[in-house]
Amino acid sequence: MRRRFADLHVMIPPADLAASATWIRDLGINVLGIASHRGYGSEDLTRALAALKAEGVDAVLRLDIDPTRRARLLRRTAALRDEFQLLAGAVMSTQELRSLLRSKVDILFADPPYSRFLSLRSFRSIAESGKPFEVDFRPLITAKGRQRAHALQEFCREVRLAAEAGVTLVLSSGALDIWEMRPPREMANLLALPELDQGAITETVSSNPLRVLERCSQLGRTSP
Amino acid sequence: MRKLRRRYVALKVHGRDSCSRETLREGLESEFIDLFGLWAFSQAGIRVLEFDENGREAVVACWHRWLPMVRVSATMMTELAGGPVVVQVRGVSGTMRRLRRKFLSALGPS
Repeated sequence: MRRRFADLHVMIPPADLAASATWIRDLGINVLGIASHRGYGSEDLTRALAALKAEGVDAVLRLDIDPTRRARLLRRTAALRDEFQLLAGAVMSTQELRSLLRSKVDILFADPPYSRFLSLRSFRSIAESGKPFEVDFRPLITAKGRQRAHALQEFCREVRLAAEAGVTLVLSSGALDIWEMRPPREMANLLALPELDQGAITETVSSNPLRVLERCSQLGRTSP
Repeated sequence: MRKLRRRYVALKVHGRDSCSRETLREGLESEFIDLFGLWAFSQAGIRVLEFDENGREAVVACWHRWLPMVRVSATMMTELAGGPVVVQVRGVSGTMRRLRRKFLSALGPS
């Protein structure tokens, strides 16, 4: 059976997604996670979902929950499940990590510079909770000079610690613009630099994200 | 020490603006140097062998040990000649003939 690839985190305007559906398929993306705060209400979003579906790309809606600003959302995850297939928790401190681990979010991520809070101990707690951890590719291509070196250093540190703690790792683009998207298989090649083994590299953009979605659908969140 | 072997990489350049073999070479080389340094670049043996401006397909050669770094450099490229681009690796082969047959549409067999 042919391997399927997923990019679970894009923040691209729905109108751009609708116009680039063929190109997204050509990049080798089979499943796309669109971060949205509006649910299925927007007309542009409905059009984007239809265009992606016509090209054979399954799209899922995702909500990024930041416990500092939107803690109340963590208490009503059941209600959010009707609108969003994927609930992601943004880790911004170790205290928030604890509240996110107790919550029903499906996946965790930490944008730089907050990812520096995460130690090996934090990754061990994530592994014990069974929640996957997502790393975005975007900071590596948007930063320049020394900032890029720091972004690469942080990326490699997160990947090494996650692998050491046994955390399920998911690699996503985190794209804000259509030109920041990358073929998932090529993004995964970057994981060869922190010396992750070849099998684990492909899983971060293939079976790991697909398993997250499978688990979400078992919880009652189905694709539109 | 094992002998160095050549690897041929088929690339597809997606972008709004036109691009030439020279701009692709400059973009790929500067990205590689930015990421891995001058010493690595001197060892990698990167060459842009062919570029089809209409199909925007290219063949790049490098030594096999440096292939993962060349792939990463191509993926991390964000612009060429001032315009945004996404460079997609279509495939890798040990011979030009096989690369053409499997991954390239426009360049065709020579």
